[in-house]
Amino acid sequence: MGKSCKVVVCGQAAVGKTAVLEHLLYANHVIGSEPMETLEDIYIGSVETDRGVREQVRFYDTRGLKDGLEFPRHYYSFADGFVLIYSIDSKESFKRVEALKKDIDRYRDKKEVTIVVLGNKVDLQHQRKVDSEVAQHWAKTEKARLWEVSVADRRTLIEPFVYLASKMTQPQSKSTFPLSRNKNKSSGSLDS
Amino acid sequence: MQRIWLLWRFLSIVYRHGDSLFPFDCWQHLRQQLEASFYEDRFDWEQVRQNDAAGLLKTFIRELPSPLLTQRYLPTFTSVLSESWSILFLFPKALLEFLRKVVAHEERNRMSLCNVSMIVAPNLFISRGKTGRPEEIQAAAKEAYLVRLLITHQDLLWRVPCFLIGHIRQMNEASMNRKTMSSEKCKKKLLRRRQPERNKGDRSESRPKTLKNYSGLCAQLTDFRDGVIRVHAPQHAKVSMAIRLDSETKARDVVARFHSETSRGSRSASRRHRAHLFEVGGNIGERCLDPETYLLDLHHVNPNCEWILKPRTA
Repeated sequence: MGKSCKVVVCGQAAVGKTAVLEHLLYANHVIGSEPMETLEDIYIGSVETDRGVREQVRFYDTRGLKDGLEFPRHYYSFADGFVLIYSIDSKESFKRVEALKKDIDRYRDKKEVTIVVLGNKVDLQHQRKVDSEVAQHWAKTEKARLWEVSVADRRTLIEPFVYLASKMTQPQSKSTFPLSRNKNKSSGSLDS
Repeated sequence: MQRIWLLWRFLSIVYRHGDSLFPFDCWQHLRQQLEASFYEDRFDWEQVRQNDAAGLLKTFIRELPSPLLTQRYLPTFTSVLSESWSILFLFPKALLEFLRKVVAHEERNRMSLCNVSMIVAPNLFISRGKTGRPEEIQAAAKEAYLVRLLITHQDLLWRVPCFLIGHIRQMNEASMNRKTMSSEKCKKKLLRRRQPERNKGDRSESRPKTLKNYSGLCAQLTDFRDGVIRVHAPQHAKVSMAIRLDSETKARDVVARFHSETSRGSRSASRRHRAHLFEVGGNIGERCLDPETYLLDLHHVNPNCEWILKPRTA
């Protein structure tokens, strides 16, 4: 097995972490199906990056967080990338993402990690509690890319994951050079 | 393989015709015909009468290069009944099933359990000459009795009894304890010998690597409390799944959870490649689990095993 990137998917319980992953990989999620509690599942997916290379990515689907349940620490120092998921119909889940982002920065041990934030369930517009502008603004200040997605529309899922895989597997020579890395980063956040 | 196939062919013919079986008949020329044309698949099975087929079957069994009950176990088999469990697994299942069917038609074919076992026994235990001494007759009666037992209790034969598996687990545990101790010793010895040879740079390079691997493994295996197992499915996109067991969870349920999540998209996965749940390692080598297995109980019996989902013929 070659080197594969490790991506941890985390967020509040029942925001659709497993649904996003499974729909991305198998396209078989049925909208509105009863959420099943995950303990910890691992998926292997191969994602085509924007450089046209297929990269193997290991997705760690984690247990949804509930009140009083803290995200296990060991994930922070172990992952190459994070997918933080909230649901646009739950303010609380967005707060959870903010807290997770803070913790990642605190515990990642100076390791270079790529963070992608997904606002799921965008098909539930009329129940929206998290303002799109506010979320994007927060993401910009945190230098993370944020997409609003829906499992009902698989195309929305693809772009974030292609970006994630491309960013994580960027050739070392570029990112170890401090100047060019800064350039990369700023261009990344300008995009959003 | 050819032989097994031939046996099957015999059984199907004899069974189809059903009637009074195993009489002595003249079938020598038939046999020559069969030998001449079998491998070219030109032999016309339709023209074989049941009596001839039965005769051929008997000869076939008798003239196998080694007896059906292999020579090696023959003494064990005839002497100690209670310890003969293990060799029974070598016995051809199809033959026993066939004999049972014969006996079931006793009214029509006049072949009772006694008769059948009497006739079949000498074909299975071909070991001694025919001098007609009393001890030989006695042995023959014993053999016939054994065949009778085999026919009547055949359903029990193919089930590996619990105590045997328990025994294997115990033995493995015992040998593992011994092995880990001795391998520890070996490792220490090896390290002591190797260390002076290596230069420092080499060592510092190899150390962090193993450490990193280890931490990777730990992170993957989040420590769950008792009752949660991690099922690996190397051939699925979902390579690993942590599942909480309750006292009702069966192997079937776990397989179903992977199945519904992966193969709904691709119907092409044929029945032959259907995955089964295996328990691997711990105190057993590798065991394909019956769909009805209660996993929590098994988890208590073999807490250190890995759970792997894969097709049976991998």
